[in-house]
Amino acid sequence: MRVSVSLAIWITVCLANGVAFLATFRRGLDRGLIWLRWYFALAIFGNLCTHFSLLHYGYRSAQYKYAYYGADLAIVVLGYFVLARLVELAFEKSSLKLPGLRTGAILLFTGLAACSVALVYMLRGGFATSYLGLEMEQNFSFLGMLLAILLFVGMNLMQVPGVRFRRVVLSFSLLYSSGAIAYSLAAILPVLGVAIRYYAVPLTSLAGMGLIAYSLWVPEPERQPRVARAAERGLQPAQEATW
Amino acid sequence: MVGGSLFLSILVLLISFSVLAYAILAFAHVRITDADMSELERLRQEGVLPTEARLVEDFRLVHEKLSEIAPAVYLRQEFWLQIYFHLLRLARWARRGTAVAEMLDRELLRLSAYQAQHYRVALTRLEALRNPSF
Repeated sequence: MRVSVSLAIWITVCLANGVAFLATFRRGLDRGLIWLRWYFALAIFGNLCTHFSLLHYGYRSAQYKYAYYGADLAIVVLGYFVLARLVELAFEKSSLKLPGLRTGAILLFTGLAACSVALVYMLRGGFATSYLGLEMEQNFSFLGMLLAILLFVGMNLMQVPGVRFRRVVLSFSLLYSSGAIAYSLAAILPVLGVAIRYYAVPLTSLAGMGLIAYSLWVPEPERQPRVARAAERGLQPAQEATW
Repeated sequence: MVGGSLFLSILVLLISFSVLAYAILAFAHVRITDADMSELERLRQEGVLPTEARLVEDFRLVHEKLSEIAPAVYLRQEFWLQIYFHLLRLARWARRGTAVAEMLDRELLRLSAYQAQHYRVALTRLEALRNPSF
């Protein structure tokens, strides 16, 4: 049986999603990370929908474009809610209060979607699926990247404990930033558009999902309190490095 | 294209590259945060490392020793460690004489300790190969 490169990438991405999905059933996982189960379930479902619409309707069909961009956007948007949930959990024991976080996330998402739609309409005079999809994917990836990295920096500044949390947030940041790079390149160099959609975007998904799966599988190390660790090394707690 | 502007798209691209680089470095940092610092001391006591601690030389020495035995015990050295090592050295050189340099020194020490842990694993496996217990 001949397997094309894009099919091989697709199978690998699906496998990474499957491993990550199974990892969410591990015992001792923080309750906030269980949200990731829905995230990966949707990712697997989206991948299957895209693949079967490609097989059934063909590459140039409208159905395939709807499935491709629709599934990607749904995963990105759900990723926002996972990030919002991680923010809530990361800071729930700290003095920092974040009222209206979910409402803010919804407003941010809606605002960005409305801006993207308006821009595409003004520039193209219509709503071609591929233009709308590319614009929204680029904007959402960029925003997701900023949110994830801000969350990570905030966790460091507030000294929130939890290596696994940090790894998951960084994986999201990596997933979104590599996605933003791919879509920006597609926007700057349209000649590479097909290659980027076929190869680069699935590879960025693979890297991001693989890292999230890794972060969930690897057990959280037992950690001494920060002060004790610093004292052991003869350092003042304030000297401890945070990145 | 962001807002139909090529300039904005290039800006997004550059920021995304910066964030990606930061995320990779931060991932590397999180990976080595829990390295067992006593492992370096153990290697010093065993005479594998010189008694006087030297950040760069210690890392290189452990790396070389690990390179010699790692293939025999089916251990693969992690490629990103080398990249991270050179990046830290570059940052240390760029920020020499500042408080950040101290932080980078500690990061290099953690990196060496992480590498030393791998060396210990390799030594244990080599010992098991030499003296198999059936």
